[in-house]
Amino acid sequence: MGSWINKIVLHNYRRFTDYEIEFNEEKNIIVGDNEAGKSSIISAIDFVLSGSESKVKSVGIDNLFNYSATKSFLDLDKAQRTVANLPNLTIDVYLSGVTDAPSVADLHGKFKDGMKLSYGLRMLVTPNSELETELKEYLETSEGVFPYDFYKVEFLTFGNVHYSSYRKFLRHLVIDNSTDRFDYATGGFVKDAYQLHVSDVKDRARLESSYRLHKSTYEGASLKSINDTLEKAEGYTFGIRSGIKSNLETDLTIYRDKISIESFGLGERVFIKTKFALNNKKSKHDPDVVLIEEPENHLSHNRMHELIDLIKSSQDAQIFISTHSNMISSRLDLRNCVFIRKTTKKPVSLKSLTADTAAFFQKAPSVSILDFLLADRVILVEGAAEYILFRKLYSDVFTKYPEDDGVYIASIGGLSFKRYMEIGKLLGIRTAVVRDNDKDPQKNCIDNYSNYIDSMIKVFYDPDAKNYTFEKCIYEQNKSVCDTVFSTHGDKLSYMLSSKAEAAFLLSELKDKLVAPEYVQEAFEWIKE
Amino acid sequence: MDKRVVLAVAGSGKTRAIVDELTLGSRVLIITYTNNNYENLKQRVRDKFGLIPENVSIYTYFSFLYTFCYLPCVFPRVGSRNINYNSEHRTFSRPNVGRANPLYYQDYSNNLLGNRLALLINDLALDEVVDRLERFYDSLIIDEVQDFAANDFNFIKALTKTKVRVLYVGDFYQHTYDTSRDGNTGSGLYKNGYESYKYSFGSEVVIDDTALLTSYRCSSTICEYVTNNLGININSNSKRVTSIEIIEDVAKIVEIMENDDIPKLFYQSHSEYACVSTNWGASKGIDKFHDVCVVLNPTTWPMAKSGNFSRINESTKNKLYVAITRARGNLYFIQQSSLGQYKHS
Repeated sequence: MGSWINKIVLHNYRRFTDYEIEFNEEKNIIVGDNEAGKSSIISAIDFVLSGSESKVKSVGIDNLFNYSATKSFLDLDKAQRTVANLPNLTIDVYLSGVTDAPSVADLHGKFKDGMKLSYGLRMLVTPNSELETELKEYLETSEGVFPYDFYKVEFLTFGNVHYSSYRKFLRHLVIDNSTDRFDYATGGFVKDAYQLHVSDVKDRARLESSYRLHKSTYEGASLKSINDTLEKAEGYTFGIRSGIKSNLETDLTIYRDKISIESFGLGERVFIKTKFALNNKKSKHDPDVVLIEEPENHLSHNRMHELIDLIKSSQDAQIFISTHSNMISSRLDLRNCVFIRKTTKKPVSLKSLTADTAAFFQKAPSVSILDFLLADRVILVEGAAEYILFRKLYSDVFTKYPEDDGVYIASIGGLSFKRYMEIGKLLGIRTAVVRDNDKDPQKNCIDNYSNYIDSMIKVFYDPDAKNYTFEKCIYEQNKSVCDTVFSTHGDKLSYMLSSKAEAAFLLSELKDKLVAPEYVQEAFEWIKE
Repeated sequence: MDKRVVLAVAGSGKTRAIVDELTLGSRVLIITYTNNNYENLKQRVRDKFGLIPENVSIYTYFSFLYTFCYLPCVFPRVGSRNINYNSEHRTFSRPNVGRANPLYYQDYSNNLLGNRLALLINDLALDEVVDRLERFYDSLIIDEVQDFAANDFNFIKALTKTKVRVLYVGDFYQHTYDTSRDGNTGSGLYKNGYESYKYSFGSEVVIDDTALLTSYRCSSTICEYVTNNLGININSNSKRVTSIEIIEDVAKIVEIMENDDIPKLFYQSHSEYACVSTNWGASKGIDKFHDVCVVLNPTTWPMAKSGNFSRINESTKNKLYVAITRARGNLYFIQQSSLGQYKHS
């Protein structure tokens, strides 16, 4: 591997006032709630590596600036609303694995006093000092509108040397699969891929001008007879369009087996792009960094497996993936996941998860691991019956639903509680494990978990060995209700035990209140604390 | 690693010696002062490798100071991106501001004072610059070291504490100007003569003044003339005899003035004359002349006529030495006052 990004520091960028994320050398899976800022992080990396002011401007500085930073400025007393107090936006990208060579001396340095000399790149959005007079006047005369138009975008190395898209220190490609920008994204991908393969600006200029020449040759030769007639009769001629919206880079596409990428379905495009980016040919055109946004979009379950295998096999590029997919995060190793949460000031990494547990989740069915990871308070239950009924039991106790209290109920679906407890402990998730005592509470519910319990993780069970299963406990507490509901069955309890989920479903549909078993109630009380 | 200062004579192959050092396997930073030498060096490196290889960086001194040292290590503290090169005028610096204050190194418009840039780097970031030097290079070579004065000299002296190999090359007598001056800083460096200069690099540094003592460019005639008249020891590599003539014949003057293959080297203000010309000091580093005409000013003309240079001052002597030693072939002396007809009106 060559150079890679070991850290990004965001200041006043989008949702982040001050935020820092450390990355792995190979794969980074960025996971988070909706609106947590997953794709903001992908685009932050893209902005800095592109060094393209126009890319930033096309999104708009006003859309990039942290709202609270601009608001705090506008909320200042008029006397305080000075140029000096205007906020800046910065994105700092720290690099590792750079080979010390004279050609990268510019990449190395420090951008603030007291910092250790490092390799890196940064984007700065600051008030344009050339417009200082106008800006002062603006601040004195206008109220309530932030002066975005007086800001400038700069790209600097940590050695404080300006760079632009013409001088790239790291080669990267973006594969953006978020639906709303898809056509734009494909165009952008083709352009970036072209620039990666024709990295010398002189070569690009040569190809561009030869394209222009061919167009004008075509115009002069093939359109001549039509144009001669037309011009004589009407004074008009036809011509081939050229300019920033119609040039080599806008007209290029990528073909696979002679079929253009636009002709493939959205899911297939993801494949083509990913293969293109991660071809592992070890050519000088391979990107150092590949950014993949929501690869799960437009892919079937099976195709997703193939995509995951493709990504897994990549060895050269550093990969960043933003995803909502349980499967992608667990299959690509939970230790590569970075969790971005709206509620916390820092991202959470699972780097220190044991290799064994990480491997377990790579193999295990992709249950709702992400939901568990992203929750603050979780009640873990054994299976579908508990999952179905707990929501009703909770609302029967508190007259509101668990999600109203920020409590998430997750079924481990027959997997081991311990794997979840290890993760819960690492992430500080308040976890209530609710399980059957299976006729031996001491062995199954106490001794079994002695290494996993702490103030945030507690196991709830019925202490009476006779009440060995959830169904039994429910039946004991709600005999008459159960007898009515299951009246067509002879032995009510054995029906409940043999058709757990069905029975739970019937009970959950009842209007009448159910009485929760005592240990379940304790779990409800504790999880809310 | 070896720390060495090689003191050479004119035409002895300083540039060649530097270029001979270069290989594709070792990372070398070369700093040179004059533009002549910068271009010359780049050309010679291209001649050797076909292009300037990635492991070789050639910087002019101020670009080295600014881009290699100042921007990565000091800029965040000071925040200025402009240099005032006329900074020796006292009026630019601020009174009652001490070295601990970044303003000491800036003029009233916050431009960096060119003559204090090396001092600024030395004071604030020497360790970081040394760190960068060691990270990116295996050798540091500075050409024309005899022009480094004041803060610049102190800085390149301080740089010898690096672990990388250091080679400084120069010719004490070709000291014709100073990279910069700052009050009395280092004022005795050149005034106190050759022996004293040798020791000013410090005891860690080996002084080698024997390796490059013979001139490949100059004939034995020129070398003898310089040794006998200017008191600067220089030997020719060959027994080649050329002519040195004092020209007073008007027809001959016209012939030389109008021969564009013979450059006319003036003490100063060469551009006031309509001929192929440059100034003595500015001719330093130029290796392409064959026959040379040195135009003598009212001070030096009588000295050349009488062969008595005993009263020439150091600076003029050094410049004249530079001018005379440009000649590979014949040398002509002409009196500046006889060139009135060539002067632009």
